[in-house]
Amino acid sequence: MIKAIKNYFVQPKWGLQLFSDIVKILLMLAFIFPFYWMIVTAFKSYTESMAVPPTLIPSVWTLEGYRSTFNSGLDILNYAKNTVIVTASVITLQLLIMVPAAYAFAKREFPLKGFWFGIVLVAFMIPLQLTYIPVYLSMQSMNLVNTLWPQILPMGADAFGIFMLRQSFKQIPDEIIESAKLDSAGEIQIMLRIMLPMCKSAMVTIAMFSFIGTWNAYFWPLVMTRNESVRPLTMAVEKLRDVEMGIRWNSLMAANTLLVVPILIVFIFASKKIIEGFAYRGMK
Amino acid sequence: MAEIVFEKVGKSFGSTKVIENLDLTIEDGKFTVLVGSSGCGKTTLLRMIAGIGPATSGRILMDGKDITHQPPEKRDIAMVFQNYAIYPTMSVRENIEFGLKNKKVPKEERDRRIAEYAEIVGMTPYLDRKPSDLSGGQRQRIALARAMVKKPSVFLMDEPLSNLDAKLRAAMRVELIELQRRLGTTFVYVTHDQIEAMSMADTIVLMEKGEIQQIGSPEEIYHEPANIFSAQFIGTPPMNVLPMEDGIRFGVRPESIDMEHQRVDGMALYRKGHIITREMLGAEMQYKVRLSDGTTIMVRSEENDRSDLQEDSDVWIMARASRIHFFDKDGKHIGHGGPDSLLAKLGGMNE
Repeated sequence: MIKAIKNYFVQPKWGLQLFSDIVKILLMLAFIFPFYWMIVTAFKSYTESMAVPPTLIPSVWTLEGYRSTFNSGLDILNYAKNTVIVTASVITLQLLIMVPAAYAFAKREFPLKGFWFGIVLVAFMIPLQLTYIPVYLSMQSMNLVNTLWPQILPMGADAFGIFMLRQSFKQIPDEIIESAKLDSAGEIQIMLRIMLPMCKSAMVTIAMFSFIGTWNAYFWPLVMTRNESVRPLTMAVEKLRDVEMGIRWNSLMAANTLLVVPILIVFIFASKKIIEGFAYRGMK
Repeated sequence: MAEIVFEKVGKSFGSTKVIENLDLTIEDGKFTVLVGSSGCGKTTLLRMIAGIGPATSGRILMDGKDITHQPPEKRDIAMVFQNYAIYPTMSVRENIEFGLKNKKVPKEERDRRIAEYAEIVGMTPYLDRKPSDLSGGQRQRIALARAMVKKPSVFLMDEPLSNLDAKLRAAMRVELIELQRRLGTTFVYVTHDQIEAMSMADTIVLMEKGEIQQIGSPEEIYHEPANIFSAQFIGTPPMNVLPMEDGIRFGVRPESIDMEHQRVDGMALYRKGHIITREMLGAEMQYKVRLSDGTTIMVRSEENDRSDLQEDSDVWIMARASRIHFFDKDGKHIGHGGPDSLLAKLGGMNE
């Protein structure tokens, strides 16, 4: 340990290194602190969560926050169920639509290919806000407003995802596909057995993005629904804020933790693949 | 077993015509090498046989059956690609098995064949490894096993050795020749490397700019080149070609030249020269010599211990009549060692 410290100070430019390490640590703390604060607040009692000055570590660890979240009169489980259904459907739908689309754009020839891909790119550039009203109107005309459908269907394909998957399909040498054809593989088989396993990283990344986006969606479900029974977990958290007797921070943070933890877990498992997804190199 | 016939075959990419009106017969059971510089159309021909780059005109027949528009999986062929095109997410075994599975070969038969061909290419200990753990030479062997295991009538190989280092390439060359002799299957092999072509082929098909320059055995191509292109493509360094009158040219291979300080009688060609560089290649010696008219030629000699032939020394450049090739003004081969009228003209130009 002492030797390690000694070595640190004999390396050339140790001052610069020390400075940069301190900056890194500070940045890391800045990112971690909100999560830490959320998790510990959720374990504080109501009075401690309101105390000034605030305590960094709860003096008494209690599940009061979680209890009051579940006893708040809100059907938390139903909200959570809606979130899970919507998120799972969006990811499934997206992969079903985006994988063949990206494959076709990357490796097949068809009329007006450039034009269609241009349309995809345009969709990628249009601000989401511009689409709210037309999509709302079309959902309304189909009588789907105030159900789970408008939270799923419009998210069924994502231009950025198609773009990214296409890039990753494009990196696969044509010879591999030709070789598979000579090995009597059909088009579907080439896509599923050869291409997809080679693009696993890109797929995980895209699935991760849509997972986070859909799981955390707030505004879109707010616009598209009127009944609590079809609303997602994010809106339950919002509900907890406006209980008449002031905000119960411990309960709110408990709900937030419930919302965030699944994302953290998925991210921890997927992070390696995500980094690979951005730095994919074809095997030589 | 299969004979492949190209009939008036053409190929264009957009408005660019790569190949026009090409006729070629690839003999059954022979090792045929398509050789030429890059862009000469050799790979295009191979892809036509494979069915992954169809001809735009003409017909291709395999054993008399028209396969021009047949999809690749219906043809009885296997191909080895330059970059091996191994499936990187599958193990060695899965790579070899993939084609058999798709052809619904029963499990027992599959296992038997995988064991057999993995043994032939020496990959048995690696069957459960991923290709990314293996070296270039080993990946090459997977590609070979994957092709062989299908027991095709025709083997197609697109520069399969060019990604290997020199030593391994030489070893694999011999292995491929042995393999072809053992299987007795039609091999069609594409390369830009004349040494590979010479050493492996039963028949060489020499191509340039989408046209066949010459078809023949390595001996024929070396001794009876059809034209200047053919004469200069084969051989290192290439044949020296020098002008005579009326656009007629004569050629003499670097290894056919005798180089001495004294004039030796009985030769057909005598020129004075001056040695510019001298390269020791091991078994052989290679010289660059400037002639009195300023042109330079290459000379290659098996006498690798001649200390008297140093740089900056004056020499006689000589060659026997039988070693001299004549070409007409279009570059076509007229003959070697004759006709006498040209030999006489050459004699008149001697120093």
